[in-house]
Parts: sequence; C-alpha cells; structure tokens
Amino acid sequence: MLCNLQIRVSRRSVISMAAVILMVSASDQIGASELPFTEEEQAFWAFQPIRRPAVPPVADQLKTANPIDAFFVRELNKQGLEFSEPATRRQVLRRAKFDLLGLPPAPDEIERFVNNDSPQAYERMIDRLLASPHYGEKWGRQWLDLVRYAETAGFNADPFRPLAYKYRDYVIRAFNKDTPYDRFIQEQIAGDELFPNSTEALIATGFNRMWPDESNASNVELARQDALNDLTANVGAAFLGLSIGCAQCHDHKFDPILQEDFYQLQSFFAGVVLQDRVPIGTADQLADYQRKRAIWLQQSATVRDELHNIEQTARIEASLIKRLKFPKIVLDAIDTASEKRTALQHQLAFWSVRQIEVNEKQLTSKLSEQQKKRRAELKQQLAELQKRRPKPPRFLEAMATVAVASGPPKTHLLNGGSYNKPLHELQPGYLKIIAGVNNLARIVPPREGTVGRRAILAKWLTDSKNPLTARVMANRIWQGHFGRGLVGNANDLGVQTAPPRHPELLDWLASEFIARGWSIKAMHRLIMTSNAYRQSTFRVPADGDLPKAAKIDPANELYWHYPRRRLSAESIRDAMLTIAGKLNPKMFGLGVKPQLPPKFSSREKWEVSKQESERNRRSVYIHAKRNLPYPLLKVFDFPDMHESCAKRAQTTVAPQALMILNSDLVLQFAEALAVRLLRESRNKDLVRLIQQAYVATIARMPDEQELTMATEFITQQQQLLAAQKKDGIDVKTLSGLPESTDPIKAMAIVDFCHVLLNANEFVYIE
Amino acid sequence: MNPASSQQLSHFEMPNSRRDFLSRAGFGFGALALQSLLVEDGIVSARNATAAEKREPMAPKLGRLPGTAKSVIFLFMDGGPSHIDTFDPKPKVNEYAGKPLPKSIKRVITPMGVSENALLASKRKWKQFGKSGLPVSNWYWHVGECIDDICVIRSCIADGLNHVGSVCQMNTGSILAGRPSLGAWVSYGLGTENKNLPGFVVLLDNEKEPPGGSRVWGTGFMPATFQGTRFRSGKDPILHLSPPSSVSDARQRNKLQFINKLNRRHIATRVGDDDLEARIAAYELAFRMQQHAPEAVDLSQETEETQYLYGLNENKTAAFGKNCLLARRLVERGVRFVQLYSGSGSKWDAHSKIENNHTTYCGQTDKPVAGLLKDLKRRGMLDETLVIWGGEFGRTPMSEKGDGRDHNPYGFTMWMAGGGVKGGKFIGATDDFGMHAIENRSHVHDLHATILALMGIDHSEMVYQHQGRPERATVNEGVIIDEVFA
Repeated sequence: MLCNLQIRVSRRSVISMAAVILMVSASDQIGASELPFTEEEQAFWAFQPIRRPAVPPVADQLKTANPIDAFFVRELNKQGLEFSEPATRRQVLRRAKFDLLGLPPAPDEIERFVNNDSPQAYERMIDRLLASPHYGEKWGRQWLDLVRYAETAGFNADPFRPLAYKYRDYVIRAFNKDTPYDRFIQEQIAGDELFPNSTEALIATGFNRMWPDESNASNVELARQDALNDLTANVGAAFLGLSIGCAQCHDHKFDPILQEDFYQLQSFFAGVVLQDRVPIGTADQLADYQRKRAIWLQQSATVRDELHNIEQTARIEASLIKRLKFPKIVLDAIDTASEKRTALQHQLAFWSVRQIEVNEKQLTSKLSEQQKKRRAELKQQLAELQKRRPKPPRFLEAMATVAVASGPPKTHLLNGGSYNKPLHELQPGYLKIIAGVNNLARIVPPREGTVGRRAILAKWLTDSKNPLTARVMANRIWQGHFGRGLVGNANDLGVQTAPPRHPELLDWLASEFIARGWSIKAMHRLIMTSNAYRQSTFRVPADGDLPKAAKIDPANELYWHYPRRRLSAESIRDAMLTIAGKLNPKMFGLGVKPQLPPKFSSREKWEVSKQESERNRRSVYIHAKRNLPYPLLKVFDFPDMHESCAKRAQTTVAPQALMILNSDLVLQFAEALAVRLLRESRNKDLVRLIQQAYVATIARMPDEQELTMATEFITQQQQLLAAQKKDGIDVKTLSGLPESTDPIKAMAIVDFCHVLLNANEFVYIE
Repeated sequence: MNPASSQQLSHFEMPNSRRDFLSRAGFGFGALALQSLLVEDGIVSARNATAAEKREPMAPKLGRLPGTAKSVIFLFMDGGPSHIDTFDPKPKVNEYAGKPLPKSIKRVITPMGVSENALLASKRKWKQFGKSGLPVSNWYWHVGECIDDICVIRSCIADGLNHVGSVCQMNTGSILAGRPSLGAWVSYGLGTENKNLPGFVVLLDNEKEPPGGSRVWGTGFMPATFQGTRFRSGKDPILHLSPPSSVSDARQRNKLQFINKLNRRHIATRVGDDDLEARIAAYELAFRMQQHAPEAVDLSQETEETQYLYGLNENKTAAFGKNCLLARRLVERGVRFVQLYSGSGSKWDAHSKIENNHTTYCGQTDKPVAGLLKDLKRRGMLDETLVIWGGEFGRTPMSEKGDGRDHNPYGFTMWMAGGGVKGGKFIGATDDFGMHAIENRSHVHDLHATILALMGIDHSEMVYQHQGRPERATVNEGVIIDEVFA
C-alpha cells in the first residue's frame, strides 16, 4: 500500500511506549505530553487556543477603516506598499450585491446609490443587502456545498428524497435569521436532543442524513458503515476543517488524527435513528406523550402481537426469494416490530425493509382462510384501540434523525476500516490532539428518551475554547468575500495546507466572531466595511508600467488590491434571469426542473417543470440530482454532490463558451432582455437602449467609443439578418415587441444583448 | 497573476505568467496542452525543486515510465461478459454441468444467491488462433484472428457485486461514487494532444447510459476540465457545438468577433490577468472546435473497404463498428482516452438466456473490435494505442434460472492489445470452474496501475491534492502487472 510509503513509527507503538514510560514513572497523571504525537504536531498552529491578538497600531489612521485594515497596513508598510484606490461606487455595489445576494444590482438601485451623498450610504447599502431574503439563498448555498446537499440518494437508481428540500430551506432561513453559528451547528448535529420543541432544529438534523446511499444495497451492514463513515468525515470537514476521513482505515498520514479518533467521533452518531415523521412538542409534552404511548403499547400488545405474527409469517413466505440476500442479523431486524427494534435494528431495517416490501395482495395470498378471518377481527380490534392511541401535539414530516432511549450499538475500531473486522470497542471521545489523552465524552442525556451523545458533541464543537470551529468558519466567511481563505483549504487546516499568511488576523477574526455572538452577518459587516474589501481591483494598461506592488507581491498575499473574481455558476444563471426580467423570486419548496439541453440524458428522469415561472426560479432551488447536476451550473463548476466542497473550482474551458454562446436557453434570456429594453425605450432611441443594456448587464454606462461600436454592430447584424432571410433562413419573430418594431432590428438587438452576456465584464466582478 | 484564482489549481501553480494562464485554462477538454509544454520545458521530467514546487510541495510528479501508449481505447462490455464463454475455456464446467460446484471450491455471495446452483454448460466451440495458439470461443472468432497482438488477463478481480458499484470501480477505482474516472486521471496527467478536441471522449452504442450515468466518466473531486465528453451521434457530436439553425454562420461569426473586441478592450486596462486571457482563448477554442469536431466524426471520409472492415455494412455490427472507427479517427487526431460502451445500460447482463444475450452482443462487437485492431495495426498505430476489452465483472459457472449466469467479480477476464503490450499471451488463471482467480490475481487497481504504466505514468507518483490528502488514481494501491509488457 502506497499509504505506507511514508515510513514512520506507528502511533500505536508510540502509545505503548508512553504506557511503558508511565509505568516506570509510576504516575497516574496522564497529560498532553503522553499523547502519541510529536512535539511539532502538538505545537501546530491550528490546534493552539485562539488568542485574541492586539490590533497593530497604525500611524496613519486614515488608512484603516477598522481593525482588519490595521493588520494589513502593518504588513504593507513594511514593504513600502499601501492599499489600492477605493473602487468606484458602481463597482463596489456590484461586488457587494453579488457577494451577499448573488444577484446583479438593478439600474435604479445603482442610480440611487451613486447619487447618495450620505456619509453612511455604503454602510446602509450593506445593511440593506444583509436584510434581504435573497442573502440566505446565496450564503446558504455555500453551506449546502459543504454538506454535499442533494435531493436524491445517488447510486444507480438515484431515488428521490422528497423531504430533503426542507433541509435546504432550513439552511436558507438560518442564514437569513442570522442564527448564531454555534446554535446552527447544535441544531444540525443534535437538534432532536437539544431543541425538541423546535421544528427548525429537527429539520436541521437532516444534516446527519445527507450521505449518498444505495437504495437496494445487498450488504446492509456495509451500507450502514459507509453512511456512518461518510457522516463522520463530513463532520470533520464541515465543522472542524480537518480531513478526518483519512483516518478511516489507518492513523492519518499527515495530521495528528488517530484511527481511534475517527471511530470515537463516529460513535457519537452510532445510534442515530432515521425517521421521516417525528412527534414534536415541548419536552414536557413529549415526555408525557412517551409515557402514555408506552402504556398504550402495553395495552394493545396482545392484539398487535398476534396480528404481527399472522402477517409476519405470510410476509416471510411472500418474500422468500428476496430475503435470500440478507444475513440473519438483517432479517431479525426486518422481522422485529418497529416499536421493539433497537437502534441498530432500526438502522438495518432502514436499508432492508424497502427491498422486500410485500403488498396487500401478495400478503393475503399466503394466508389461510382462517388466518384471513382472524386478521380481519384483529384489525377491527386494533382500529378500536387506535382511537385511544395518544397523540403528540404535532407530527413533523422531515428527513430527521432521532435518538432512541434503548441506546446506541457498540462502536469498534475497524481493522483497515472493514466493517466486518472489528477490533476493540470504543467509547465516544474527542480528537486527542485537542482534548488530550483523557478524551472520553461525559454523556448526560439532555432529556428523557434521548441518549445525549450528539448533544454533547455539539456542545464540544461550539465551545468557545474549541480551537478549530471559530477559525474554520471565520476563514470560510473571509473566503466568501475574497475568493480565497486566509487559510488556502477551508476544509483542511491540517499540516497538508500551508499555514495562514496572516495568522493574527485569522485569530482576531475568530475571536471577534465568538465575541459577536457567532453572528455571521456581523462578520460580513465587519469585513465589508474594511478598506481592504472596498479597494479597487488591479488594473494596468498595456503601455503602463507594472506597479511596485505587483513586482513585490504578484500573488497579492498582502492584499494590496481586491481580487477580480468570476461569478459563481448560480450567479451567472440568476443574473441572466434577472437581467432578462424573468427571475421568479419565490422562495423555498421542492426543487424545480428547468429545461435541459435537447436529448441530454435518456437515462435520468427529469420532468421539466410545467410553468415557466417555476423554471425561472433561483438556481439554489433547482432539483439537486446527484446523477444529473444541472448542466448550465455544472459547466461552471457546480460541485459534485457526493463530497464536501470547501471551495468551488474555477475553470475556464471551451464548453462554457459553447453553453453561453449556443444554448437555446441563454439565447432566450438575450431575447427577453432585448424585448424588455425595446419596450422600455418604446423602440425609439437606440443610444439610450444601448446604455440601458450596459447598465443592466455590467452596471455602467458605455463610453463614446463603445456606443459607436455597439451601434455599428447592430447595423451589421441587421444587414446579416437581411441576408440570412434572403438565403431562406427564417428570422425568428419575437413576441411581446412594441408595435411597429422591425423584426430584423429587434433580432439584431438580441444579438447585441447576447454578446453582452458573453462578455468577460459580465462574468467577472471588479 | 490574478490572485483570486492563484490557488485554483494550486497543485499546478506555476511561477511564470504565461504558464499561469495556461494552467488556469486547464488542460483537459477545451483547454491548452499545458502538460506537453511543461514536458518540453523539462519541468515535469526534471522537477528538481522548481520554484513552483517549493511553494507547493505536493505538485504532481508524473515519474515518466518508459510506456509507449499515447492513447487508450477502452471497449467496455456493459453488464459483464462471461469470461468462461469467451477467453477462458473451462472444460470442467461442462463435466459438472447439472451439479453444484465441488465442495473444494469456496462458496461466494452472488447477487441472486446462486452459489449452490447447478453449473451451466458452455455451448461454445473453441479454436486456437495464431502462432500463440491461444483459445478463443466461437463468439469471438474475428477477434481470435488478432490473438497474437492480445494479452489475455484471466485473473481479474473486483470488489463490487452489483452493476453500479462495479462499473464505478472499473472506471474510478472505487465502488463508491465521487472519484475521478481513469480517463480523467489520464487527461489530468498527460493533457491532450489536440487542442481542438476533448482529450477524453465517451461513445455509447445506444441512447441509454451505463449504470451511474455520466458520472462514470466524470471527475469527482477534480475540476470538470478533465471529464469525459460524451460524443453524440450526428454532425454535432459535442453539446452546443453549433448555434441554433436560426442563426446564420455570418451572424455567429460577427457576434464572436464583437465579443472578442469587447473582451480585448476590457483586458487592455487589465494586462496580465490570466483568467481574462484564458476566457478569450476559450472562445477562440470554441470556435475552432466548431470547425474541427464535425470533420473528426465524418466517417464518409473513410474508404468502403475500411468501413466494411469495421462491419459498417451490416445492421448487426454497424452501431458498434461506427464507434470503433470513430475511436480510431479520434485517436489519430490526438485524443487521449476513448471509451466505448457496448450494450450501454447493462445489456450484457445475462441472468437468463445467456445464449441469446451473448450471441447478440458478442455478435455486435466481434467484427468491429477485430476490425479496429487490424486497422490500427496496418496504419502503424497499434504500438501507440492501447486497446482494452472487458466489463465490470465476469459471470458465474453456476446457472441462474436454468439458462443464465450471475455476476462474478471473483475471477474474470480482461484483455489488452497494442500500446506496448505483449501479445499472444495469457496471464494468471482462474480455478477449474472459472469461479475464483487463483494465479496472479489482478485487482482493478492493478489493471489501472498497468494501464497508466503503459502510458508512461507511475501511478504512485501521479498525485492530486484533495482536501489535504494526496489522491491517486489507484486509491493508493495497485501493483503493475509486469508480465503485460512486451
């Protein structure tokens, strides 16, 4: 195995050596020094406590809008550099709006902002954007990337998960409400245990179920282990910013993460029970419900048991062949009545029951006449009993996880990561590099009927002393604004990633994040009001000299200019829809299905949404199908939905050009924009139309030369269209044009609009 | 120099601005041949602590091996062809027909639970071909004529039991989704030789996609640049290659010119921004592809004799024959990796009536595959083109439903030809019943390592950094099958 190319003393042998030393020193105190990690590993920056550094003093206060700038100005001054000029108002508005909402500024919005003389104009603009419901659609999507959100399970059948969208909507709402990040984590990992009377928190536990899943897995135990592994790795990546998944089969090759750590972390989740219909209410109501339910179950036991026995025999007989593929442990889980299943049986049943379902007809065909009769009687009795069955205040339909009091199954260290090669048993515990040798979690069920494992993990993750959580998220927020994090790989703060170039700033941001009550919006406001954010991008004319800064720091590590960035896949589509006047701002609900390219896939089902307005919803609402990522998004680096994505790739390839240039869909956007502009200008003033097209697409007016070029182009296209018509190629007639519009001129304007949608200036943010 | 993306492909980060631009453009489909430039510059072959490497210690080290294959044509029999009825004769199966496997053979799990079923006799006739005298069944006698160029690996093993996992593994190394396909790895490692065509092309013999769909040729955690491009039938093989018919050529050209004008004007005050440059280049490339791709797929340029060689004149063989001929034309034009699916959509999956099923699908592929090998050889292309035949697994000697065979990942056959492979030879063996590979067991990872080695890539050294982990095409495993090399 190449994994072992790196020769090192195995960590376990270090442990045993430590044990020997312990015996020799006759000490029962186990401290950090006995950890099976080198001093260097223990001293690694990311595992040190977050210490709030002093803000560097800066001589020229004018250069700093807030403490963020002070950290940069200090470094820049050392090199004799400074920030670039502030960006223009138009630029900074376009930048901020795409950053926070993923949408282009409207022409009147630009007008108002550019002409606003108030000294607070910029701050108010930021506040206004942060208050918009579209904010959650942009930033929530970044979170969805991290948790590999999808509305289907993947694998061959890629079956629909009809309740998954509720998790997506929860995330959007959480960002809009500025749910404190610590609470956001707690809800997702342990919402059921910690906040039983919050429907939001229960929906949030969908996080624990985002793994890809094979609906007809024949090896159910393996499927269960795969799901747990996937979940464990995702917790590591999303919350801790560590590649914990690497420790599934062996101790991590680079980071101080033990294979034991992986399974100890996993054991927090070992007992999750997957449920799509969850009783909800206050803790007291639920406790009361559970008590009454237990009594009811007892009272109805005789009837239910007899009915179960009769049906079970028939069910087994009707599914004999299908049952062959499962081992006894799985069949036992299937055959146990739902109320009596252990957590493990619930899990095994989750994968297997659906594979051997028997319908009423098949079932009755295996019953004797006598059994049928008895069954009818029992059903009758049960129906009577059902009337007295206690009800919780409410049921919630969601892809949730719940804990069952019966307790979680054991977790073992798995030899080589193989589900069927268990070694010794492990208890829930935290990463040793952070928690020390005494890493076991002290588990106290937060309320009756729960286990409390996930709750305690969530508390540990969101403890302000956890060195990773706040750093990881502060870094992600930074990355969202500058296109790169202060740490390059936002999902891996481990040794494989270069340490941050501005460690003090990162720690200052992390401590500020905690101090501001884990408010993500406060962090946006802080970052966006810095001069570092408001400065202009790097521009140098062809005949100009390269500025000093570009020679000293070509990679802009010192942030002497704002980095030019390409729009995200969603923003490209959403911006085109907005500009075309077609965007349907409706929020939430089941994923929608806009048109696919013709004959795109004959394999995957994709029933295009019937209503045009539904097809024109924001991209975050497009049906997230693992086996068919929406092509227009995919080509612009929409991530694979099987793995956590910390940062989108940003490729520039010809298929993108082909997509915007030749797809019918984009052409239709250009047509809609042209029709809109023609109506607004009442088909009179071409110059004004060109100006409006510029403002709509790239938020600025064309200069004289650009106006001339555009006018010329439109004239040329008119001639070419006339020639095309002569050659027998019909010119498309657009609907909705103002009266007496020359269809040829209209189509020439479509071509012009289409060109603007293809322009670099449209796809990039200054 | 644009910092926003200086970390996008950081594992290929180059200090020089021009290279930076090229790397940003990527070097898979629709991109520029960065890798070959680097090899010319001696950077890849002699990467001794270049500036880039100092900054990025895990930059890939391709570690060139002396492989000779420049391109791969992977013939994928989707659904699992029966090895014991094609290239791995097992007389004992017929001897034991109607009886279960003897107790000495270890029992296995199969999807349909046939481990105790009686064996199904093979109705094949076998003939020895060529100087090597290797036996081939009458389902593949055209291919048999090329046996002296073929190396049959009879001891393949895989981990999956079902189609989706196994097709996924044969393509990506893992039965779980999310990893890049082998073609993507090759694109990543070697780039493309024809900047007007994708470096990795997929051809299906019918509309149905194989299990797992397009992610089987996807890139998983790698940038989409390296993904396979499914060529569609007809004049426009690439999605959105041409504008809708309502847009005349002249109009389209003028639009492109105007886009270029605007973009040039835009960049004039942003000199040195490689992202913007790359996007201008991408539009130029899109235009070139529009001109070149239709030519590449125009089979009417081939002589009638050649078309017949591939079986284009017969209904039975026309669909797969076209794809084989297309594959040769693509490879000729510098495409690195062409994958052809026969029976796309698990059509080889003969759980029942294997006689009908395999007669059909072997019949559809026998002549075209032989035609491809012969054509490559007479054109002097075979030495540089690695042809691979096989499916995601083989089939059991046990009978299913009385006339079919179940999945067998425990021992099956793949073969390779050309590209530096030693022909007229078989490697490894299954037991007397073709149930288990017992000699020289070759896991999928080993096959992948060998394919890469034949292309000159050391699988242990071609690394892609993902989430802090150095990822390899062979999932950090794989041993090169030395016996394959000529």
